[in-house]
Amino acid sequence: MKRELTNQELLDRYIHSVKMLLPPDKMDDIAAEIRSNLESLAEDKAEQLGRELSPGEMSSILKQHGHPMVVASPYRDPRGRGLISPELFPLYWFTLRAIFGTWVMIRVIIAVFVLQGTATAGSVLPRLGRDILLAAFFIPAGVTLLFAVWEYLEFKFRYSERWKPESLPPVPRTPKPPKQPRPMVQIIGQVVWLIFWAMALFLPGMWWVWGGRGVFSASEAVYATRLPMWLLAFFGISQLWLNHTRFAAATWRSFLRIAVSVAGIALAIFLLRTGDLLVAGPNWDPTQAKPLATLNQMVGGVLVLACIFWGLLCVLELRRYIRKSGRRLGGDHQTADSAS
Amino acid sequence: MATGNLDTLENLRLELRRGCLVLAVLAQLRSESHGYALAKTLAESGLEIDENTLYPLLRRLESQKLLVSDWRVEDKRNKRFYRLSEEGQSVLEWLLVEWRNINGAVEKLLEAPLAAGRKQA
Repeated sequence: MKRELTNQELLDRYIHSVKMLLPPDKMDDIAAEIRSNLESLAEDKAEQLGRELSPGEMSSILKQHGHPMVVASPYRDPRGRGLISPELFPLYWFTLRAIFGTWVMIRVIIAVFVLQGTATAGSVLPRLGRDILLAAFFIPAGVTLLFAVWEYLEFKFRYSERWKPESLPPVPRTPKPPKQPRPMVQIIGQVVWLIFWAMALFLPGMWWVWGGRGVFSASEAVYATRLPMWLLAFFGISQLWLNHTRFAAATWRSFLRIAVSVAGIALAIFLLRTGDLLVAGPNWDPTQAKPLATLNQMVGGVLVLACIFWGLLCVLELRRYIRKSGRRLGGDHQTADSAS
Repeated sequence: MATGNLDTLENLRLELRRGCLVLAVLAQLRSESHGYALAKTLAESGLEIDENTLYPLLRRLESQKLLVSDWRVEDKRNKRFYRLSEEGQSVLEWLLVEWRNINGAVEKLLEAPLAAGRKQA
């Protein structure tokens, strides 16, 4: 038998559903205010009745307060809502991003698999770009059409007025964060890795790491970029070290992350353009020509993935920086107001 | 009254209330209050306002620097308290002058046909 939800569970579910539709930078603050208001409302009602509220009464308070979509919509940025109504806009925006993001991810994975076959990066990348551009047009068009149909049906049948607080999804349990190794252990591990990476790049005897018993070795381009490759790893890891210092939240960290990512992209593109990165070594057996080509395709695929990863990192970092600056400006004005 | 007319009436009523609500909220926040208490005070004064209108309105006025707010504990519960900022104070004074002018003008316009009617009779 289905257990009846408690007042607290009903309120938690309701607040969680509203919160998921709020703008991310203000969601906690707005949700806390709505919760505080609803708790006061429930308290007043209980005082009037002279007893605790029943779950049914709590449910009707929430129902009267409005559907989560209706409650969240006035807090969203009104720009770009021309086609979709404010109530449906948060869900529309979420669906659009989820479908587009998933599609891009699948398409990139396919591209990497194709790269491992016979295709070259030069032929796969333009096709990938063209497909992403086409999807950027067709996916929004399709999703908008779907939501337009939904709007029409909603207008006709008024589904959103028939909702029940009890049918809202439960609040997901926050998973326990994985145990982090101690900073000192982490740092020692990273230093060891950097030493190993330096040896692998600079000591010819270490090429066993890449090509067993001199079967193949690194190309001229790889040799020429050994120092930038090592520096890239060093700066990447130094980012993690900085997290343990007072510079953990410094603004210049964003620029450092972007600089490391851009340097990574530049290096990867340079290497991709030079052709095969692994060449035949002293013990090369010509009958193994195909595995070497496959290995080179795989290295190419990894570099393409790294470019995408660094590109995404740049975009996310820029977004975070813009949001942070916006919040800081808002905070400054508020402080000035309070002081005056 | 026909349904169409009822809708028109409701839209006109909402339009009329929208501007007044901003004025009422700013006037009430000359002394500090949290959202729920503010909604109750406004309702007791005859200006019922839906929470889903009031809270976004408070946020908007705050982003326009007319209000300032901070979180504080009251009755063992964390509440966000709003009050008028200095800029909000001068905007309120200006709006009140405008409100009185509009009110006076509308009163005059409403009286004019009545006076003309009395003369004709």
